[in-house]
Amino acid sequence: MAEVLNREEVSLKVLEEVRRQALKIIEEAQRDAEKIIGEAKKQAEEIARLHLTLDEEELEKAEAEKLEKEVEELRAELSKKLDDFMRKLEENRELIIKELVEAILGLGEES
Amino acid sequence: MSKSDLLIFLLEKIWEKAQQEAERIREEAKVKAKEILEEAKKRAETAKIERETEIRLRIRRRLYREYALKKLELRRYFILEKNKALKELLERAIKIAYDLAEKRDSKYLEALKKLAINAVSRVGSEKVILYCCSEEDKAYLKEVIREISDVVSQRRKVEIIVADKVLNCNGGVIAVSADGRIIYNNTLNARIKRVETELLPALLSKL
Repeated sequence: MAEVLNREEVSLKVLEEVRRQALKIIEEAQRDAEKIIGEAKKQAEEIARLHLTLDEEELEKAEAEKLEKEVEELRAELSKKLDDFMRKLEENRELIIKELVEAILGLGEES
Repeated sequence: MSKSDLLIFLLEKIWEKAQQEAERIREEAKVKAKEILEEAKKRAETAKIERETEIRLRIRRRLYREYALKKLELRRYFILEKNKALKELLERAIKIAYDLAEKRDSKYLEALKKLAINAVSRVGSEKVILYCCSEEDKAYLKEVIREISDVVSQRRKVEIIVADKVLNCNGGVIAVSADGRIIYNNTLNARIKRVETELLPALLSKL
């Protein structure tokens, strides 16, 4: 036999149903949130993995190039210094020879 | 407000609050996800730099020896080139000095006297024997022995003897104390060696 509900009882039932639906919406939102965060964590792991992959050969090549450049810079610097030295030597050639002759003969020294 | 109006109001409020709460939860999750990704990027970048530095260091250490040797070789080459150029000048100077000695140039004779004075002074004993390179040098030193003796005697009393034996060298003298314990080699050959080890490096750094 069908239960005959009065107006208050109907209201309570409706309220209960709406509360249940509201909780469902919130639970669904929580599941979505977990999914969003889970996805972000997965992406974070992928980022970490990708960043840790380094091409060692490429790095070695770059370092070797850097060192080779240093050697070339040193060569250029020393070359320039040698040119300066040779120029000064040539400019003072006779003076230096004279100084050396005097040093050999002991002429520049005090007795 | 009737009872049914109140009920509708309550229902609407519950529904609205639930929607708002769901929206807040989703938004918070999005913000947190963004933070997680940003943090991950930052951490990954730091880790990458650290790992890269570590690898670069490891590679550098391995390559360093090879390149340090290259640099050393370069420096050695340039020093040798400078020395070679200076040595050429020294060779020229040696030839001039030997020529002056051989031709018995007045400059050489003046030098021989000075070399003798210098050698006798360095030996520092009361009696000094002078050994010459040639008969000509011996004859010349015998001529000027008084002069040499006078110069040295201004500082201390000394007896100088020119040895009969000659050394057959390129010029200059060797002074020996009478007891043979002190020797000062002032031949041109010995002086050239001193010039090479003392004067050339000084010239090298001066230029």
